[in-house]
Amino acid sequence: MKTSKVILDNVNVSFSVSGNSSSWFKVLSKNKTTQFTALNSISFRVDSGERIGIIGHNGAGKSVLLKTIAGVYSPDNGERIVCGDVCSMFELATGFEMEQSGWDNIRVRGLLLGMSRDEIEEKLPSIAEFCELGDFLNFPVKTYSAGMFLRLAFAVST
Amino acid sequence: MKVYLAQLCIAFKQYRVWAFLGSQDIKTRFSRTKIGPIWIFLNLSIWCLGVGAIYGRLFNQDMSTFLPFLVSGFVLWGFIVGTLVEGGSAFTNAEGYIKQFNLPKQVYLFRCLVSNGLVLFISILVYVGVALFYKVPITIGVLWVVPGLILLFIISFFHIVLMAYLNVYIKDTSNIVASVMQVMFFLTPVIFTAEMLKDRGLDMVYLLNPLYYLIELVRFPLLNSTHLPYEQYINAMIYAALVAVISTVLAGKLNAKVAHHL
Repeated sequence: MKTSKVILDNVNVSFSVSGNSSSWFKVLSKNKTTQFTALNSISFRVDSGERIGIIGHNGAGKSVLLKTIAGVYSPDNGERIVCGDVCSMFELATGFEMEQSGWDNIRVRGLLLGMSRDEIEEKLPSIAEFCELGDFLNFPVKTYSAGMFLRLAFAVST
Repeated sequence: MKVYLAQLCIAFKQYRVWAFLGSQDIKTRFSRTKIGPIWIFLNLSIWCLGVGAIYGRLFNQDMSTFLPFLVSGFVLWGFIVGTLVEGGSAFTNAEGYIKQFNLPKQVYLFRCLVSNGLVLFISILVYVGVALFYKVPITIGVLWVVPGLILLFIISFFHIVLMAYLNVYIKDTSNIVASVMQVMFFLTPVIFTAEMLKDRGLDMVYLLNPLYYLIELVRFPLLNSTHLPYEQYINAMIYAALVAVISTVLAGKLNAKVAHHL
């Protein structure tokens, strides 16, 4: 059996903070704008069964680290090896279809997490039960409170 | 570039995801309206009736040929502009998804093609209605629409790729293209025919206009039930290859950093 693990080896992730000044010339010539390094030579290894917490002040790069593990950001250099499934949950305020019902949003998120249609339909009742939103699932999600968003996202991801 | 092409393949295989998202887009756009996507149908019909009535008179056109020409041209024009302009926001609109899930982001490019394609297919029903009303002769040759549509979809997909990647880095892109297309509308035979230009010695306006050929790919077989001169298909394929290469090189270069810039 393949054991799940996460290995980061000397990973750098940086952003160019160009503000409004990005021009055609700069993009095409790859002329470096101001670079902000969010992750600087990060290396660690997490094996199956291990749990870790990440502590840091605001803007320290915790989210960027997690998103890099999830594959949202690709490292500038260094290596990222992830075996197993990543079920991530970031930026809860975005990534919902506001006009659509809770049910439809579960379907969308399920698809985006890599489930098949059948798998989703099969799991729908248990997801609905887990998130305890009851009849609110029939309402468009734009009527939801922050806590309800959290419940919905959390229920699909787990 | 290798990473980009690999992701493109994986994204393409996720057809369930992008087909679903694309059709949801249409649903969302008209959610809580009384008649839903029938609005597409209605908007287009009203536009074509209005413009047809005025310009048909103005240009002394026979309505039974002018109206089918106008409707088919305008529907295809809408698709071409839609893919170019909405292509620009394919990634920016999907920001919430891109930053949360590690699906290959090219999924959102296909999604854009699906939602625009659906609008095209709904709109083309208006043409069918008009064609039936004016009894536009239809033979088996009308099937030449199919290769034309396929070529148009392929080209439009590469348009989307180009626009989506450029727009992440330079947010002005889709605005620039939108205003250019507004001007192009008056330089492309949609509300006037190519013959009108020819009669007035303005052939260059359409002969050098790639958008004219894109529209003709589908409009010509629709109206005439036969194929275009073969060299026009070859021209279209050369154009497709050109945008394919340009968009692939650009996407290959910009692919890794898309999420960083959103």
